[in-house]
Parts: sequence; structure tokens; C-alpha cells
Amino acid sequence: MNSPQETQLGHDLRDLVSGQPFTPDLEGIGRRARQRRRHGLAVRGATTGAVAVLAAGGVFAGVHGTGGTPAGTPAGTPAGYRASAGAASHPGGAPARTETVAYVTEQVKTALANVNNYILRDDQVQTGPGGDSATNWTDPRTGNDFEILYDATAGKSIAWLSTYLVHRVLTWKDIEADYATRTWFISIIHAAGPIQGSTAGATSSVMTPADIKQWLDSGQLKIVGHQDIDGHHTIGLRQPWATGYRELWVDSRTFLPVRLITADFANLKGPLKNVRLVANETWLPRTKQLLNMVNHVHIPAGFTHVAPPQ
Amino acid sequence: MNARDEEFGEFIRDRASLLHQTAYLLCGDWHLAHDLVQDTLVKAYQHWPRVRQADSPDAYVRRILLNEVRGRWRRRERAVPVSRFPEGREPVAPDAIDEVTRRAGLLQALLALPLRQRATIILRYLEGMSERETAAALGCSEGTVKSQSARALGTLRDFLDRMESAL
Repeated sequence: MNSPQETQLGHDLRDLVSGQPFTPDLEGIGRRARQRRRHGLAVRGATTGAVAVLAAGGVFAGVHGTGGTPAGTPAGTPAGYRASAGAASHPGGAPARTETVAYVTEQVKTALANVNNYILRDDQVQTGPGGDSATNWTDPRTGNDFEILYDATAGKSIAWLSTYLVHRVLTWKDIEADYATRTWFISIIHAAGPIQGSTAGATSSVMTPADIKQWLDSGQLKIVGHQDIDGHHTIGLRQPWATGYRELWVDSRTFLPVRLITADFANLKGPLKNVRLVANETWLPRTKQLLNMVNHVHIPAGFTHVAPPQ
Repeated sequence: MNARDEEFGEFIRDRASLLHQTAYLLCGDWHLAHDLVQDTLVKAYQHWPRVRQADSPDAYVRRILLNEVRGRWRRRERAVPVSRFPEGREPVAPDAIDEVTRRAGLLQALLALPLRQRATIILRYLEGMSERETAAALGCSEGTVKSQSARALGTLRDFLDRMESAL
């Protein structure tokens, strides 16, 4: 087909589509985008939140290994604390041995033995343009999660996420309230089919020691170096993959996780190439107030119940 | 309306109709095209910071649209059968090479093309995109655009030639 024919083709195509006005529904687009955004984050939180808990779990277990109370923190102290070199010490105060990957990962696994006596607070910040920030509180005993999300574009929303089994089918329940639209909805998602075999641990959003061991053993972990983070001397473990990496920085004396970084450079072009998710973990005592906040839904007054996004 | 909404509204104001037309030629149904464009714009809005800073926001949005079409196709929300003429465009002069008939035949031929070839033709000749822009929208190389375009044009030419002979 030569150039005049191509020109004719253009004319024909324009003629085919002429006379059909279209006016986009801007308000509807914005509303649906916000709903999709919240919904996506909820699902993401339900499926990947466990990774953040990995870091958090390490903090508790390290504490637990010292007798169940953070060193330097009086027993029964109601206030939460952030893992730090000064807040917990290695059992017996023994110096770290040679920092091989095997040794460090074994220490981290040991530190991840038990998380059930705390409420875990996870502060996440996504760097880069349009980055979001979120704070999650998780009850390891119930697997319930409460989230406050600050979306760079959609604003503030809160959500309660829970996981349970219905006839062996894993089910995620997500209740979200959006401050921008003053609406809330309930979304329930079922897994594709029933769980085969044991369902033990299936509904937990907290990684079991076996899960953690699998994670630590699954990748080609390596020690990437040392750095000071908020006054902690830390060792970094990195698990790379084709387009990114995950780093777990642990205190070099206590092996308590201090920071978890997830970075993916699948987008090689544009501003998203530098986006990283940085999570800091704090351990809080299981106060009635926190348990109520995590395990019970409290929709703000005046919010309207709407259908969940499709 | 916040700054983001204003910026996004400005972006789509002059583009929405063309996007709608492109969607129609991709799927062959105006109602489906409407849904496709709405879904596309929702995603574009959702990822607006990324879209606006892309090398070609137009190509980025076309890519979203094509993914939407592929998704609908996979869910079997297919275009109208190629044996059926779109409403209001039935051939009216079977004893002559009528423009209306020819263009209706063109739509049939277009819808019979593989999706990537169809998209190449639409982006190149309806939207007037360059080969580079088309490649960006399709997520392929300029060489692929050239080859896909050549194949599609050949198929369309054969179809239209046969149609004109029949008439």
C-alpha cells in the first residue's frame, strides 16, 4: 500500500469513528481510582505484610531470648520501645562471632521464635514521587491488622484486615474507611480453592519460624556491610533478585532487626526507578487500648457505607 | 477540585474523544469502547504521577488501553463478530463501489486483524503517531511496528481489493 493509500486509510478510519461524542466522567474516574487504590493496598497488605512482620518478629524474639523483657526496660513497662543496641543485649553479653551469612541468619532465626506477647507496629515509607506512608498494628495472636494509610494522592484512609477460613477456603476480609469521601466498605476475597492438608498457620499474617527459615534459606543471601542506623551498629543481609533486592539490617550485637528495605527496579525508566519501601518496627505491649484498636472495627461517625470497588 | 484533578482533566480534555475512537476501532463496539476508556482513565488517574512524567504520556495511556482490551479479550468480552456490520453502516449500494460499504468492509477487515496489528494501524493512521510513539505505546521496537504495519496493510489491501472486485 503506497502513501496515497495510507493517507486514504487515515481518512477512512477517521470517517468510521466520526460523530460519536465522548465526555469522560472525571468525578467517577477519581472516585474509582481511589477505591481501586485502597483495595489494592489492602490486598497487598494481606499478602505481603508478613514480610514486614519478619523484621518485627526478630525484634520480639531477641527480646524474648533475654527473658521476655527488654533489657533496660523494667518488667511490665507499659510503654513501647524501639529495638536498639542499648535496649537489648545479646544473651550473656557475648560478642558476635565471625559474621558469616550462616551465623547471622541462624541468630536471626533464633530471634524469631515468638511474637505473640506483643502488638507489632510497622511504620512504612515509600520513597519516590507519589510515595505513600502507612502505619500498621498487627496482633500476632489473631493475625488481625489495623492500618492508617496516607496516600500521596487519595489522602488518609484506615483499614482493618483479617484472615480466616470458610470450609477450608482462605478468606480475606477488608474493612476500609476513606476520609476523602467519608465512605466505608467491606470487601471479602476468597482464595481460589480449599487448602489441601493442614490448615495450621494458614490464617496468620505473621510468618511462622518455618516460614522465616524458608525465606532466609530461599534466596542467595549475603552480608552487604555495616552501617549505623539511628545509633545502631548494624549488619545488612541482602537477598537480591533480577530487578531488585530486600535488605534486613539487624543490630550487630543483638541481631534484632532495625530496618527492612524492599526495592524493585523493574521500572528502569522514569522516576519510579528509585522507589524503595523502608519499614521500621516497634514493639508494643498488649494493652487493652491497642487490642481494641486492632481487633475491633470502629468506623468514624458520619461515614456512609458504600459497595466495595470491583 | 485539587491540582491533580485539574492537571489530569486538562490532559484528557483534548484526548478523551480520540481515545474513545481508538477503543472503538480496537473492539468494534461503542458501548464497550466507552467502558474501556473509563477503565483506562481510572488507571491513568491512579498512576498519574507516573503517567505525567513518562517520556510520552500519550503512549503510556494507549498502553493502558491496549492492556484493558487484552484483558477484556481474555475474559471473552470480544468484539462484535466480523460477519456483522456495525449498526447504521450496512452496505447500501451493492452495485457500486460505495464509500459507506467500503468503510464498513474496512472495519470488518480491521477487526479481523490480530490485536497488535490492529493497534499498530489505529495508532499510526487514526492517531497519527510516529513509528517511535507507536512502539512506545505497544511496548515493542520500531522494527516490530514496521513489520506489523506492513503485514496489516497487506491484509487490508487484499481484503479491500477482493471487496471491490466483488462489488
